[in-house]
Amino acid sequence: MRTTSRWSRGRAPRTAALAGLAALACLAGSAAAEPQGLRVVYRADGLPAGPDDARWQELPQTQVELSPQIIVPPKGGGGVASLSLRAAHDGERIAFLLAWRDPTPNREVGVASFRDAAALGFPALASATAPSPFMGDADHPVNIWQWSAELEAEARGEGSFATRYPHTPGVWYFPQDASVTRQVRAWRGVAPVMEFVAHGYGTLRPRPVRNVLASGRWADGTWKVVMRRALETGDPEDAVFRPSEPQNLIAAVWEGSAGDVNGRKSVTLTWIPVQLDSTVVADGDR
Amino acid sequence: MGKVYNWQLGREMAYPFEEAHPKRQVAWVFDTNKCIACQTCTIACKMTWTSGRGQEYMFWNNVETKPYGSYPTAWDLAVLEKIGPGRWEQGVYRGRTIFEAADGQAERIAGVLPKDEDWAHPNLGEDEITGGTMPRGAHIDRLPHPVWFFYLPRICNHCTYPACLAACPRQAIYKREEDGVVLIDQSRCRGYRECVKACPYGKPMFRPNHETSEKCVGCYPKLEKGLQTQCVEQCIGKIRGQGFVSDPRGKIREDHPIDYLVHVRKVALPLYPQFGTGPNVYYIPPIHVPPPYLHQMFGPGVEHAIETYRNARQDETLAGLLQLFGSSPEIMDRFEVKDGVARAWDQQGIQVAEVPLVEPPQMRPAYDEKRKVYRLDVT
Ligand code: SF4
Ligand code: SF4
Repeated sequence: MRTTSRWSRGRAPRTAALAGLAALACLAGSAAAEPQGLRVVYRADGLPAGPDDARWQELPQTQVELSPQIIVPPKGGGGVASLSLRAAHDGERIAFLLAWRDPTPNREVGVASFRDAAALGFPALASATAPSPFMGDADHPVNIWQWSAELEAEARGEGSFATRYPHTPGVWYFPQDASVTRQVRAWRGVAPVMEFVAHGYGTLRPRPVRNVLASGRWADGTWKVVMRRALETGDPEDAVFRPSEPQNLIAAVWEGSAGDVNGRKSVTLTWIPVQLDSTVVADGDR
Repeated sequence: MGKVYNWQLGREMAYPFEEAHPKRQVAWVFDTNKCIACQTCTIACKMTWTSGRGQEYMFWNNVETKPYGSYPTAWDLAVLEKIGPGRWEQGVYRGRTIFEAADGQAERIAGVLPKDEDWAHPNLGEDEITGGTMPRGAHIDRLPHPVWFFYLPRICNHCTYPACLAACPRQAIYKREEDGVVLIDQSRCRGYRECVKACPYGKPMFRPNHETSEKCVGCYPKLEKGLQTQCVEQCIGKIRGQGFVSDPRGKIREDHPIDYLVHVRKVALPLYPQFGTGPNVYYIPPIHVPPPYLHQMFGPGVEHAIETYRNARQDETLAGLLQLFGSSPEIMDRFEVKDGVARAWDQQGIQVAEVPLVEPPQMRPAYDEKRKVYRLDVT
């Protein structure tokens, strides 16, 4: 038996990577048989990159049911009935692929236009008991990662603010105005994902950190969004992922064309168990 | 849902929170009879607060022509339709407020979210008449006028029971303990637009490039210095007065300008009290407009208010107080009208205004010796 529990990505032996793939192939079937849990496959050869990376298709898929949010006003959502999840880790980082059907991509936030978005939530403290699946409670914070289509469009330089609300020639703004806007926007960042901590509905607090990377793409009536982060960040408000250990997640999807925003969303009603593969590869597998 | 008492409705009503009141409640009185829609207030506010990118369409203060004007478009009709018809019985509103008309399921408040284009026509319906035509040479010789329009200046009402506050799922909106000013905490706001939808007066506005909602801040930095707000101070028609209003269940002050107009003489009325938010901008209704229209807008006190206002000529205290509007940048806390002179004092007891009820006539010679011209105007 090898006792190495952790490989650095660069030094992952080729054989182990191949063994990992073989293990993945036979485990894929068992993950599909247990649809309520999400298996995070160990990929010593590195994580799939963007949402279009073909390697995602090699990973087992978990389909989770979404329901309208009916607990606190404003209630609503329900336009997206199910969300497909795939996940992998490489011993250092974890990546999730979220995919859902949405015939109309909504990338704009206007006075009365709403954008598509999706979020994952995890218990923020590495505790055995999962807090309430409704964004946690006073003693059990939930760490939330929210990707949104308008931030994605902005990050790609395709934001529609300037065309929808054009700057009329001759209209003059105080020079300070631009710096105020920059300040306000700074904490939203240029990445298409925001990180939060919540202690239950209505308590969402943005965090000025950039631990999660994300990218999303809409094609053929489907949004595909990848969110990626280090397994551990050392930040007490961040979720912790450890190989071989169980975790849990909740998910939410907002359908912009239905006016979804904040509580108007399609949500999971229970925690979805997440199991990370071990990085230990038995000698017999080599 | 809690139960709160709303004196403007003469009854208790449902509200998502328990009854709580600030130490003092900021309030305004606008005299619609004097408003000329010059929009000086609008521009004063805009230059002070909303001249930035993303705020182009925002007019925290706007002046619209009634009955056809509205900003955002049809804000009032949309809400009236949503809450349905109601009746007033001996000063008590029998109908549903926006809190009572909510379905209770998806929303706490019966609201309507205005669209982009609804904010794009602040001068829609401007100066449009109703009631008939005015052919060349026609003149009107009676009250109310058969053909009419009037100007309605509007700001946030810093409501006693704010709908915006009740709608925000993040408690980003708060009512200040010290003066009742309703503010949106920009650092908590996530731009959900629940307040934009909930406010029946269309006063919170969404700033798309910040992804937060903004609204009239009651010029709180001025308020804290004892000064009247920009839209009051800059009003060239002198139609506005600002101060604090008392809860009529407690002690009302006869010598306080706002209490006197709102509670003692009941000449200034809340706008659409049936919405139920307890708005704190009080309007002296226009005397030339047919009362049935005004009933819907200002409630059942309209006839009394109009009659009182029309008699102001024989009513030295009321006439004097109205003269004090626009005669001092400071908030007037106490007034007195004596021997044909109206005077007002601020909260420190320092006199801030003194206005004669009748300006002594000044006659000038018809010929200006210095410039060697005849004067057109000698008084
Ligand atoms: S007028 Fe509207 S924005 Fe102002 S306090 Fe009332 S509900 Fe809130
Ligand atoms: S009180 Fe101040 S912020 Fe509010 S409308 Fe008037 S000028 Fe604007």
